[in-house]
Amino acid sequence: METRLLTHRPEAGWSSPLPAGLDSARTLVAAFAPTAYAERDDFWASLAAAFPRSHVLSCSSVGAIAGEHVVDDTAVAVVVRFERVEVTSAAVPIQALEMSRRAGQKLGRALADGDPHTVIVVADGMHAQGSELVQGIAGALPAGTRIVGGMAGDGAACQRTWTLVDGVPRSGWVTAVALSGPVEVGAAARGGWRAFGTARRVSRAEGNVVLELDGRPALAVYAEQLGDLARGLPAAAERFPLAVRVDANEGAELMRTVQAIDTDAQSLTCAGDVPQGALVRLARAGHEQLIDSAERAAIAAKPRDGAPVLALAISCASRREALGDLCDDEAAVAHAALPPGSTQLGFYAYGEIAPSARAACDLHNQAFSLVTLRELLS
Amino acid sequence: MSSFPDLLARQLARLGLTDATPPDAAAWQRLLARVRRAYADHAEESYLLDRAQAIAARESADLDAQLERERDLMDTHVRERTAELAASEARFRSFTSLGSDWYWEQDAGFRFTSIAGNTALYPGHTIAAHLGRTRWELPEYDPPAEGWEAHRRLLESHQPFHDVVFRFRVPNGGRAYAAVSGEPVFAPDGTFAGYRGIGRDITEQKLAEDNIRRLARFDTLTGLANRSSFFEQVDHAIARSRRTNHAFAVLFIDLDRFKDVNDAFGHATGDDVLRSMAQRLQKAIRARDSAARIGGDEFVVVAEEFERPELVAEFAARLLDALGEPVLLRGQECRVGASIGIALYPADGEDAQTLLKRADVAMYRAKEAGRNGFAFYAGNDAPSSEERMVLAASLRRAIDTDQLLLHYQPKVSLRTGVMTGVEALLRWPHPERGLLLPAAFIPLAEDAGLIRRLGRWALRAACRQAREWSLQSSDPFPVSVNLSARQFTDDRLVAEVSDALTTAGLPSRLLELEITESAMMEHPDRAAEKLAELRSLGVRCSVDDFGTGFSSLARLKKFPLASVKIDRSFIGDLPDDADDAAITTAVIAMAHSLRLAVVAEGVETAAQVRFLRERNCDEVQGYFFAKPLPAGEVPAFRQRRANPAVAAVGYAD
Repeated sequence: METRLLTHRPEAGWSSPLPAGLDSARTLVAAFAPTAYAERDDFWASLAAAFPRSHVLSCSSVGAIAGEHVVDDTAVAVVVRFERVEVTSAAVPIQALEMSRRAGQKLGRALADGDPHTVIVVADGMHAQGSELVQGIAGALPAGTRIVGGMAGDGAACQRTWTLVDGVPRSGWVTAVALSGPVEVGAAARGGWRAFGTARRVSRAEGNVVLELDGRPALAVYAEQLGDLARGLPAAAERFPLAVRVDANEGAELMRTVQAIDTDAQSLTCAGDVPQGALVRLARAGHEQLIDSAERAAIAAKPRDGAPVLALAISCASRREALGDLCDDEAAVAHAALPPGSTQLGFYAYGEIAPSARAACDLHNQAFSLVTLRELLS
Repeated sequence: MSSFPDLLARQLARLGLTDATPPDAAAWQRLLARVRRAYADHAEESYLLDRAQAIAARESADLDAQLERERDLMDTHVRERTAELAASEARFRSFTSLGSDWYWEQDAGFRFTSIAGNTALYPGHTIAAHLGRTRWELPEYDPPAEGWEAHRRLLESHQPFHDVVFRFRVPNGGRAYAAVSGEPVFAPDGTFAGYRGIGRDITEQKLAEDNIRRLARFDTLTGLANRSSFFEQVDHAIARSRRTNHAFAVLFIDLDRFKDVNDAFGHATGDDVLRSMAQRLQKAIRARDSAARIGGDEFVVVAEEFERPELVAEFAARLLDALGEPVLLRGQECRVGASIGIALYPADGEDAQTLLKRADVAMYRAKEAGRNGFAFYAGNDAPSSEERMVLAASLRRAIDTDQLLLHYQPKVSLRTGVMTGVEALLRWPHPERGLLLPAAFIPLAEDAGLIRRLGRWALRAACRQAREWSLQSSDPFPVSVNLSARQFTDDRLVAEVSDALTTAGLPSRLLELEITESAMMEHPDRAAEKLAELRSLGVRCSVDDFGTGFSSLARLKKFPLASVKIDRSFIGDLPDDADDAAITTAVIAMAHSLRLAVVAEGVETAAQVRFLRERNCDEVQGYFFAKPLPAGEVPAFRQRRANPAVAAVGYAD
């Protein structure tokens, strides 16, 4: 397995010449670029020219993770040529938000034949319901297939998200590469969020919209808990996600970012499903806890033997917002926790796909998720 | 750097600073920014945790207060319920102690499991011996009036029963009576677990009733037998006559000038006259004869064992002599006199009612022929004009004073065995002639111009009764009322029917009108219109006595009818009479082809039921299932028919 990390800046071009020699059917090219790169035909043309046989996985992001830094206005790419691992790829359009599960199923079926070890998914973050999509994919793939990835982001701009389909950036698609053969993959997601206050029962919810908590209007309960900090709503909502527990006897909580509030309906719109009957608490994270969690994700995902890996870091767009100029720290502590010689790159997402306490693959919010890859040599 | 708190140590590490090397200006600023942020984080966290704690504390206090309120409410509720329960138990105790003497329970095999309460009154006196045994296994118990079989059937059907009277043999050889009520007991899963109920010693009440019954047999004014014991005497006479083959006579005696006496001298004197006439009668008859006073100035004598009618005539003449003797009224001699009508058993009638009626008719002939005479019933005796006038007057009075009655004859479905409806039948409880059937007074009512009033009375009374039943039942049944030809052709009929329904508050679907075939065929076009109007009210009409009017069923096609009633004359000889069988079969088939239901009336035998059922007749009416019943007995009958076990018994051929 041969790995090469590169960056690209609009004015300066590629940081080093593209390693066209690594092009093969067993080559994976992963590239994460600012939203505006959708219009940079020269960028895509250069990739297509250098890697005609490779499988290119790409999506929009706001800023990218390159090594131990977060970079803005810069695309980051990695070229990995496997020796024995087989790579396949697929793309499926998501015709409507409500058909996310169907699209996921279709994608899963397209990749299932190769009996993949791991599927890395990137999907349009604004035109898909992440939870539904993930359940659709998981349901169509053989049990035990590792599914990781994220929902393409656009920073806080929320205007356009895209994924690369047949060399062209397009909105409304879900794309994936599947790896099969001797590959070792680790994956973990950590948030650093601490739930506080009284647990409330979701007494009325529709999909990702929470209408009532303990029989009271959801927004009122939420704002009461925030007190003076509620004055910062709706922007402040991003910093206080809901910690959701579906089963009261189960310790693990899944984070749901509050994407929007509706003062008329007194409801909270979340970035993922919140089932009726679940218990929720508000959660918050200080800068330290956010940074710590990136380190903990890396420690959990890295192989035991200390061999170098390719690390795909997928962090939440709202974490970047919360950390501000400390976001470098997140990338740095994760990178530092990996075995020496590892390569790290990644993007900021509208939802992270990684194992959770409730499922082998789940949609996370507000998490730092890390996927480690290495080819096993006999 | 281990001496630094963890948080600060990390900030220093991330900036690559140690305590050994002072930072340059830029690093110092970065460190300050990081420390500021860490403090702000900490402050925010503290604020939110404090707030969460405050909210939790407030909610917990609210919850406590709410629990407190609910506990108070609960306490109050428990106190109230406890008091209610105590009151209800006290009521139950006084109720059971007032209403009953003992309480009993039986298992699913009807064996006593407990007899408790005021058991000193329990007529058996041997409670221990009764436990574990059924009533019919106990020698002390006589069977109830309906017999053990019927009683056991009732128990097997798990029905409640009320005040069933049991007679007991008590140790001193005497008899005691108990009224026993019981209800079935079911386990929580619905299985039958036995019976429980109460019993009451009614021995004294029973003896008192016997006494009253004895008293009730005699006329208090004259000491003669009264009307009801007269009927018993006739029944005894019939029984004796059947054994001995001797005829006997019923003599109907009406005083001739009693009314004049009453008018002239007053009631007290009138009573004296009645007493003295009674004594004369008593003296004049033989030991084996009996005399009774059955109404104002009407007496009857049952004279037994006559070989020849001439001897009866002699006897009657002797009675007339005795009654014709003058009486002293306030010092004045008066002759009251009497007229006598004679009916002979068995020639003139085979039951008490008929004999009395015919003796009465003969008595009117005697009066018409000049008073103080006697006459034999002459077979074709039509009621005299006088009798008719008297009858008409009293019929008018009976209508006005609501003294008429309706009896109701159930109709039973041949498919399900359940009672589907009833036909209302007029009865006139005549103070002197007993319960008169329509045939005895309808022609009279028609002649006297009373038929419309009679019809209207019956319609209204039936609607009232139907309404009453409909309130008692979740599944009400229709009542049908006969319309006379004159009523049917009356222009006011539809308004009257509508009025009767409204007054009674009866839904129109619960009223059915029966119109004779001949009434419909008198003016078929007008009949069709009228039937359509009635139908538009929601009232169902059926053709009564079908087959007697010589019209074809096909002609009924244009009438909006619900059903056809086959005349009883075709049913009586079923299934043996081949002609009747063929006609009945054809009528049923044709009526069904016109979508009319078929009712057979006058059904009296199991063979008739079988015949009709085989030919898919829908409903039957007749003595086989039930005679016309007083209104009060109809719900019980229906209840019995609703029970499938009983319904099946009703079919047993």
